[in-house]
Amino acid sequence: MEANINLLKIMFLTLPVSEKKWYLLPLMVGMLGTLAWWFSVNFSADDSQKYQELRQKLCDSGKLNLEEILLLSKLLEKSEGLQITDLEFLKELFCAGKDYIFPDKKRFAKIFGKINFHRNIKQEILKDAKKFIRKVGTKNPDIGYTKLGRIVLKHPKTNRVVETDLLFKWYK
Amino acid sequence: MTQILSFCNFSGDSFSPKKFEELTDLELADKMEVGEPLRLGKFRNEPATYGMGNLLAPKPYEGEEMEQYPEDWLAEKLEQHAEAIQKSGVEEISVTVVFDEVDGMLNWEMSAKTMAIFGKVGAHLALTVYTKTSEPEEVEELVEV
Repeated sequence: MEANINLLKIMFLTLPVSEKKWYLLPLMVGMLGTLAWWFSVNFSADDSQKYQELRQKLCDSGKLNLEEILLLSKLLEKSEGLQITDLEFLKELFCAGKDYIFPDKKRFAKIFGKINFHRNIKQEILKDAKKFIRKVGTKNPDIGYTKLGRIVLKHPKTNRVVETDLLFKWYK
Repeated sequence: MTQILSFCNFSGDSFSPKKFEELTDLELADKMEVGEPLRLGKFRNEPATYGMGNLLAPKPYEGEEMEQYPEDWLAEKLEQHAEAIQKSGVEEISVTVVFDEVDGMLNWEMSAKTMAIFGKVGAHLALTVYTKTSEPEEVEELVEV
């Protein structure tokens, strides 16, 4: 029995890469199916359309009324698990047209209020992002965020960007 | 006018800012003891697994002449209280210098003595420069140079 298993292992390991993909195909199809099911259950077509409309309106006019902001925020939470109600923050996430946003000092002050970013917030982020600090290769990275509100670290010299598993809103 | 903020961040898994203050007579800002609920981050409201505190360098200019650079002051304190720093559980020392409202060129120097002290205690130096295009009035606690 053990010999047979070993034989199967050897057979699999010696297969060409192109043939190995066949073994992964059912798994990938299964994963995609699960994802599609989750999306259909949690995010109806109406929601999706409304979500797109509100995003479009926000980017075109730069304005939304309170009701629309709350609805967009609710839909964002449903789709991405993010709770963001700040209009400026939503605008940057949806309309900036960049993968990463690295705010300047003015923006940092606006996001974090009167708290000094370097003395408080950055120290806490760097503590939580220790494993990512090693990846980016500097202890004093630039701090930014993705469209989905995840914190990214950038090496100021090499411009290497590392995405963390930390959400920007956790530090507000 | 260029402004500067200099501080030294102490942290460690068993670091106690309170003990540090008792041993050194220096006052720390932004203190957090091990076990206190975290104010921010992924583990907000959970007990902190490390202690942390910032030693802020005093205003470098009281009059027209600057007697001591803020980072030299920080180095002096690190040297004077090396034993107390160890005893209070400090594992990581990070010196941060933030320059604000820099117009054009920024020239900065650090004495050999200060560099040697930072090296001796294993302090990491982080430098940040903001140019004049940003709005200084929204950033607090920067000290005029």
